[in-house]
Amino acid sequence: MVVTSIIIGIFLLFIEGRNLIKQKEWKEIVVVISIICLAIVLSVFQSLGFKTPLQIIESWITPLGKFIMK
Amino acid sequence: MLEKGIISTRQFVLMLFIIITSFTSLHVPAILIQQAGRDSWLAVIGGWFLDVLLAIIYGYLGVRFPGENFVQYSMTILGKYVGRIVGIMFPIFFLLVCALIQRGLSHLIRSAFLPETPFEVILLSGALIIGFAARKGIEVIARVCEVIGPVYLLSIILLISFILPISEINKMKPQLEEGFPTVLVGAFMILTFYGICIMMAMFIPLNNKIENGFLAKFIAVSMGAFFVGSVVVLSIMVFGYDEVKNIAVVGYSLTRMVNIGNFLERMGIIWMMIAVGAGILASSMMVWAFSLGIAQISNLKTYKPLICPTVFLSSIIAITSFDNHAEHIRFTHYTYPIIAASVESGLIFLLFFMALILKKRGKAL
Repeated sequence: MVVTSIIIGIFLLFIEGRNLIKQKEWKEIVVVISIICLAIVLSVFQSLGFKTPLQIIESWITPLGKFIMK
Repeated sequence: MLEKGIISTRQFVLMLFIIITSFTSLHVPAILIQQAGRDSWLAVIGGWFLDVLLAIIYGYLGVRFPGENFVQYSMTILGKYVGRIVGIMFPIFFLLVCALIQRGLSHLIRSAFLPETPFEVILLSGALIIGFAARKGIEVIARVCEVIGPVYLLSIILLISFILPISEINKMKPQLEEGFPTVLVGAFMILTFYGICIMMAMFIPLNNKIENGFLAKFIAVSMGAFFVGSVVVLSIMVFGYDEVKNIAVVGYSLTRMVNIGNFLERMGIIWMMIAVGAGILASSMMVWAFSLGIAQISNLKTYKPLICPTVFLSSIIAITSFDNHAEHIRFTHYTYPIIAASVESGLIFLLFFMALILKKRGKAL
């Protein structure tokens, strides 16, 4: 899973980054890299058994949800 | 302006309709029936009414800030820094919804047709199409919605006419068994699913008549409520309350009940094709909105390079955030409504009152 996501991430960076570097759109490159890195970090978190952000949010909010809903 | 596409009011309506129905037709009817029981139809009407009231605020803000979506007018109202913090919540919410739709659709395809195929393969195949659609821009998505939207609406009308003869109205009795509180909670719950129509605030600046924002949302939510209400009522009248609360995707189960003269049967596949197509379109609109919102917050020249990384991120969120389908349903049932209510109502009310208090208006006015 981690290896696959790293490969996909590099592939996407190559595809999108090539044109952006040619056009010297550095801000765009930073945002693209940030999104790809976030995705890879999430898959690393999962493989290491850490909770993902959504699971952390769920553990905070679910008690309130169970209080309101059946 | 980052997005130069223009959409007509009809496209606007159908895009919102696709978003509502694809998000609510998967697991929501079962969750709603679990919550409000035989009174779910009342909850659907209550949710529709509350959402129309919210639409007035979205429509008003769209007219007060012409040419700006809510990411942009967050920054106009609250300033550069606080506005960015509030504004980024909307794209993040769209990303979450995209991940939930992707996961729901993939599970549906896997459980109904491809039980041997790994979940990730189905999800990533869908992601490719979502990325392709989103990269084409909003005008292309709008034109596809113009084709799929009426087909989806027609499918529910045909489903009603085919299923009605085998339904028993007595299965809807007794009504209000647990009183109004369960109906009100059900209305709140379904409101949060209709509420994904806050997307209208992204579409209003692109509409050729910005004053039609409220009308578009009103029509779309009314059609969406009719869709969800029909599925909920028919499923209770066909399967009975005790059985239906254990069915994961009631719309699909209903279509499997169609049998006209032992000749026209197994209609589930057609409904699935329409539902999957609509789901992919809805996901691509979420990806488009996330990319556009992030590009506006980061002051980028274009949003298109963000599309593919965004689809990748939402797919990873869909895969990593839930270990199994039960966790996904639990999240949709207990966690999503709270998050959605705080974004769809809380943030919009905050922006609305701050705009009034600070007397902020759009730059075009």
